[in-house]
Amino acid sequence: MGQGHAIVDIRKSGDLRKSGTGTMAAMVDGSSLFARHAELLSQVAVADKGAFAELFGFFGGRLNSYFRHLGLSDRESEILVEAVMLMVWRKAGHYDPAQSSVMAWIFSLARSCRIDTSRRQYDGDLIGHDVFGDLADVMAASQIMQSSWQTTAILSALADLPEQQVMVMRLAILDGSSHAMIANELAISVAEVRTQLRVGFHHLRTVLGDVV
Amino acid sequence: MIPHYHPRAEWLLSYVAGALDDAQAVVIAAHVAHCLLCQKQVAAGGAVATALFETVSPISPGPQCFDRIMQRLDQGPQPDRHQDGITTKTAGKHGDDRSDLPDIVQQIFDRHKLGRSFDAMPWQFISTGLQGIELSAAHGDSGLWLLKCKGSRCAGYDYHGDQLSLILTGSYVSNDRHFRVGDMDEADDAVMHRPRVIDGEDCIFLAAVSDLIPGKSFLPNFLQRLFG
Repeated sequence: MGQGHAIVDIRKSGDLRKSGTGTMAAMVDGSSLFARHAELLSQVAVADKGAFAELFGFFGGRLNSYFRHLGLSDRESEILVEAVMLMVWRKAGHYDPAQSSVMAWIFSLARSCRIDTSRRQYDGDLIGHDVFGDLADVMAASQIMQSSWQTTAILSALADLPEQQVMVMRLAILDGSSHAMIANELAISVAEVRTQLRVGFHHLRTVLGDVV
Repeated sequence: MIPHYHPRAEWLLSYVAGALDDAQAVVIAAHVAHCLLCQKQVAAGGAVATALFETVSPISPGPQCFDRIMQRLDQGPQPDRHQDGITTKTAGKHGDDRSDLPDIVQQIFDRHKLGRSFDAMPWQFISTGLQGIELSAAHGDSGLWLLKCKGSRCAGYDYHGDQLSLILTGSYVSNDRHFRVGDMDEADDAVMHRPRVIDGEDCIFLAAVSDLIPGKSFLPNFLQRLFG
């Protein structure tokens, strides 16, 4: 599944923040990137294909990597990348920069696509697709304004946690694995998975205060 | 309304990640919809998820992936221009039992054609002091139930695994805790759920529970049905 290098990435980001001048450079780069993405998305909203291609250049590989991490094949991942990018094209006019970063917005679309796909694997009609369409919207709306310094702070706080706890949080929050799946993968109990998640998240909220 | 009991962080995080089963997700969403504190937790969870997404090292999709998308753009509709993504809220009417309920609960009620009055809903006997409507069956996951607890001698139910309950009307006492409207009563490890109503008003709650087994009562079955 490739969790290993993601953890390395997290630790690198943490080091980056602690290295002082590197932090400032990263924050400036990050901020301008955030602004650039928002600008591109506003151009996509008026059907600018060049802007769309530039966004694809940045997000295509990240989305593909995200879906591949979830254990999907090359082909399945690419189908989902296409689905997300077509949603980006169609819904660009709905994006509100005051609500979330483009990164958070596109990630919420990717997450909705993944949830829809897994839901289609069984009888989703029990409660109703219409209801779950709304549920995905509720979750998408839960994204908050996220700036580059906020991301750096979150990754730095994560890097302070024990390795297994970071792994549990990553599997649960990014990969969307159930508590039972994580317990199985890491050979620990479901209760332990839940404790790790709770304690890890509490640590983030304590360290970050009002950042998140 | 400020709920007193909330889902623990691990439930909210898995809700954000889309990792809960359908019934659990509905119960959590219904609580979050009316709970400012949990909305903040969910937003923070979303921020952590996005930060983790940023750490993913890109793997370029095949070149034909981009070509296929551009082809679809040429054939498909132009970007959607209208800006209002806000859903309209069901307007509350006088005498309407449901107007204060979260939208997602109202949608499920509509889907099951349950009407607007709790009294007129097709309640089924489950055990002494407990009636219910099965909203979705448990297919290896949790089932979604609308349950009504009456009186202080509720035989309740047993279950395997986890259970999440959200109080919709009234209140009940369980394990020495008093759960009121909007409160989340969560438990794991297959314990019995024996809620008791202490103020006389029926308590209606939404429950995500796997393998609901009616609780045993001291009364014989036919008497249970008579007095249940």
